[in-house]
Amino acid sequence: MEPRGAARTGVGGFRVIEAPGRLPNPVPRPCYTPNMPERPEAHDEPPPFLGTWRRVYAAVLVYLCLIMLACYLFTRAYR
Amino acid sequence: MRLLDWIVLVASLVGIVLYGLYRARGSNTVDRYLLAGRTMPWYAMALSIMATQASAVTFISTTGQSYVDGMRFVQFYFGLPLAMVAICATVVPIFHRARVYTAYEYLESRFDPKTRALASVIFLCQRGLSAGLTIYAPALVLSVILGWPEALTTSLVGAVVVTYTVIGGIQAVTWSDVQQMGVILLGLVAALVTCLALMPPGVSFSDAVFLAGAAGRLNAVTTHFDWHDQFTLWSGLVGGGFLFLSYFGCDQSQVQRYLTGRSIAQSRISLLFNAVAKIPMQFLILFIGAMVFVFYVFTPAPVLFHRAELERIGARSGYAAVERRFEGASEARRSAALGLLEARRAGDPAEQARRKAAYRAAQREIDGAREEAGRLVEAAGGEKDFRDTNYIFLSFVTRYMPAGLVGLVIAVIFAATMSASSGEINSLATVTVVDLYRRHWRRGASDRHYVTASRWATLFWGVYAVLFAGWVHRLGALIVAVNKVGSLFYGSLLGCFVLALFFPKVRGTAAFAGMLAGEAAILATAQFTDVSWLWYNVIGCAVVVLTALAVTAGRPAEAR
Repeated sequence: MEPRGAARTGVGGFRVIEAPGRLPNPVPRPCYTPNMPERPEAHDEPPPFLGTWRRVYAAVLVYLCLIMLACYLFTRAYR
Repeated sequence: MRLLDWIVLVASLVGIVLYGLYRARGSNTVDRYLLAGRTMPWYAMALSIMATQASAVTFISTTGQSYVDGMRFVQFYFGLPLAMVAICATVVPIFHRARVYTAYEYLESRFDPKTRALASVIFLCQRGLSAGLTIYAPALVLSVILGWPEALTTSLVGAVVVTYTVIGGIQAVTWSDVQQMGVILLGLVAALVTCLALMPPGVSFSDAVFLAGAAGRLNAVTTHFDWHDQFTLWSGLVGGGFLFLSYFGCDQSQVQRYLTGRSIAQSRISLLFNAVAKIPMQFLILFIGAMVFVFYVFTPAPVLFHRAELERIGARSGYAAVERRFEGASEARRSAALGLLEARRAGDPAEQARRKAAYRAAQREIDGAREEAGRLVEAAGGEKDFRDTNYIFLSFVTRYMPAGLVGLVIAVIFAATMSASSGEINSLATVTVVDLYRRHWRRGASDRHYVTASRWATLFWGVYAVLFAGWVHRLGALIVAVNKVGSLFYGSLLGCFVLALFFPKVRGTAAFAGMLAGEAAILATAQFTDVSWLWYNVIGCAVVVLTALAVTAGRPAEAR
């Protein structure tokens, strides 16, 4: 995958980073950060469990539903 | 405080600070000082995020809130998992790939320098205000409980925090947070176990839970919709969700935590860990408050838990009647509670209903007496709308917990204060140096220069926080209003990031105008309506987006 947020050296030795990701701004605008090595690991990595991030997010949302249900039942049981 | 308490307190605090400084060795470059060289493992980030979020006020107030109003507050956190999933899917990879130090740095790449500068200034205003309060509020409570001068507790916390934050930067802050979170969890469990152990003979854990529920203290979910009610299922999911989106997506004190991650995956896991762990943790804190409530059903409680205010109104006419009313109702509640438990064991529904009604009537009488006492405090020149919520749990701790555990719980309060304020001070310094100093005043200096500037900025914000904390008491009742300060600013910041991520046609000037309009809308809502503060973020974000879209539509394409 093509790394996003590609950088070049600009005025004063600052790195000029173009707008990353899917941003469709036709005029890349610079922001200034000091020179730092590129990070090849800044690519998307799979999660350590469930295979894809989409499944992990779904699991978190299912967990939220279950915990809300548990709180609701707890409230009903002790009111 | 006995000798053992002092030993536990001092050992905990010194241990936390020394460990943080030990782990922070080599923080001598900007990348290491501000972002830990982007090497942090997920568990350190996760616990640091939790510790930074759990300020002492939250911890002290939450138990008191549950004592007074029940467990409804837990619904406020239902929006957190939604927000965490949204943030992990959107901003985490973007911030990581852009290799930014601050969230606002990204706004320049997307919009323009003025939008970045405005967002940075809004953040500095908001966090600068809360930095003083983060130190002041627990210092005030501790000074009342321990009898120390406020200036001493404020300076003590401030000096410790500033020392390790200036020396060690983000690494010291993060690794100290990990230890602080450990102390907080240990203290919470110890408090719950002690509270249950102190229940009178014959009152089991099941009985205690039953009595808390009968008094309406276990109302974890309320499903009705009310704009003015702070804690309902809907305000938690929507209002809380927007607040957490703002907090974790736009607030540098949180963004900086997950930017230290060694990879996108590590940062995502740290946030998702919070999404999963935070609700049970808040539930536990609120449950402790409910158990403290049951403890005081069987143990004589003071009319007010704020000792100094109680002494102040003790001699006033009218207090004796309030005290008699309170004591009579307390005795009636105790008898009704014992009768209710007997009826429950006997399996007699009719008797159970009758006893429960008496128990609840006695509770209403107690609440009425406490409200009357609060009005006496006001009449005696005390705080307007006086509430002693913040003093309930610490009063229980200092009066009834055994030696050693008191020191541990006081250490929890200090640890929570230190973790929250060190994160704030560190992020304030980062934004000051990266977004303002290096961007607008001193470009192209050496790495060493910026590290030194970051240390000075940290020192400045630390001293500012302590001085502001010393002045904050003059705000009086306004403290309550200032506590909601985050919601006054987050909505416009969130709106700006929503524009950046999801509205590609919007340019810098439209975003800038949108932020100004959003901020004005939030301030107007706060000033002229009684809409609950949890909705400010939703309103502010919506106004920013709509204004920016209107400006974009109204300008010729080449002028955008």
